[in-house]
Amino acid sequence: MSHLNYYPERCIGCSGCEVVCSLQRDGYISTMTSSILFHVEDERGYFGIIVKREGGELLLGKPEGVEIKRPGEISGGSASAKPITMRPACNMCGGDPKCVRYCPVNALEKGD
Amino acid sequence: MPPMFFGKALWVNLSDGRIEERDLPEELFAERIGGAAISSSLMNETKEGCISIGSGPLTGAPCPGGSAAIAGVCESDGSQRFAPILINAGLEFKLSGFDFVVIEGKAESPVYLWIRDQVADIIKCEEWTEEDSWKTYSQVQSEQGDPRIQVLASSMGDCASLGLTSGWDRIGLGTAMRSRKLKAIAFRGLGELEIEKPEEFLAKGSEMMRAAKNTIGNKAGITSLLKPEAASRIKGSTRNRACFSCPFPCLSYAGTGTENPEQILLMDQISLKVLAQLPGSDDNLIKALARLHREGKCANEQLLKSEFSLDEIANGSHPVPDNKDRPKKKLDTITEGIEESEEIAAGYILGICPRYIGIMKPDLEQYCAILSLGIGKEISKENILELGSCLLKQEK
Repeated sequence: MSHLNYYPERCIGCSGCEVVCSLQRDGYISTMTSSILFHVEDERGYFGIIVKREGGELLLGKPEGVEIKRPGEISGGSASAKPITMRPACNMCGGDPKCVRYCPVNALEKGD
Repeated sequence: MPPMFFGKALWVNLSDGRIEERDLPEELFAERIGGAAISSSLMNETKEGCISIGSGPLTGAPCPGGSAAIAGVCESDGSQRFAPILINAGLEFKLSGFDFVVIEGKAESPVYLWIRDQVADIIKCEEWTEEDSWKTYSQVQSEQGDPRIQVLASSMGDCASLGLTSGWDRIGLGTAMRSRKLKAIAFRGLGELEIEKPEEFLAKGSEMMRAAKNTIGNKAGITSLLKPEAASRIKGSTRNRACFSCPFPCLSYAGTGTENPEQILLMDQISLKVLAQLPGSDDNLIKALARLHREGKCANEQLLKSEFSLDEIANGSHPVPDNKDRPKKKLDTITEGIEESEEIAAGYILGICPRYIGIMKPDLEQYCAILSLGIGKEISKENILELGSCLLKQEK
């Protein structure tokens, strides 16, 4: 099964992928139903993404690298937002992920 | 409800604490499209001046540069000025449940306005006595408990801040907020907005994004907007970043030399250019900028005449001049070398960053094409440029 790969050193933090995901799946602009959660802490110069993969795995894309975790192993994130574990998992848009197509710097790629 | 909008405006009177939600007629969107063109109409309804925030149809939409919400200041003589609210704030405002907010009157004691999920509250904060926009930002975030809340804060100067970032407001929003005892405007986007043809819209947005990246090449960071001698004085720059849905990462994080915040996001090309001409240690350049921004100030050429060094500004030993009495543009382009134009005005109507339009000079036909997919109605480039021309001349 294919899945998303994330390359933090390429990412420019535009967070377009987050909105593209909701728009592709639900047909509307939102950040609440996306399988991708953009995380930023300007005070630390820190940004990255979390992706919920099928099977419940979470991809944590941090500036220092990528980690794969089970849902119970992650804490933090946006306090009032819908937690990533409550969101639908990335289904790779049926094999042609739209976030990959949208990302201008190839920070997201389709992997095996 | 018009596509790509909620069709709602919020009217806030700080004098009597009244908050009113108004449904906006679809004809208004049909005639004036959105952004500063509609804000301008709404501000014309007030008699003694006001502040506004508005969104364009492409604010928060996946297309290049669709990051801008629009701040407006209307003086008591009816004159209006606009500035872009960027980074992730355009997206968050867009999904807040209101397309436009108009703020009139003056509070009795310091307050902040908190907008989310089609709800708004005026919250008293008279104990927040410090004139420090970063402190206000952190107090609002701490009180509301959500790191994605966007906070526009006023301080002692003329310029409002967005989080830890300043340099986007040279229209006097900071002064307009302070004169109303409005410490901050905070918002968070939890809503959902329908698009008429989502699949086609997304395909067009992706095509535009990829094409834009080819134009940009490797241009990146705030230093790419400065001359080499100024750029070489900026130390401690770590990582570049883009605003929402922008392929051009024109912002850069830089270390402050303090523990909190460790870094700030540099957007203020104009202040950096001025500060880089002052004597003093390069290590104090970002510290000097940080001090100005905490005080709600941006550097201008008056600072060059003051004979202060970077070290004196950084350590806070002298008061620095404000922008208050400086001539102001009608449309803030946030970048030296980019002048007001019909194209920039079109961006203010659509919700596209003026810096992106000014530097990348994108084809407006492409934006008309994607907008037509979003709202299900043909919009021509001539139509938008004509509205832009009226906005520049402030015609109704």
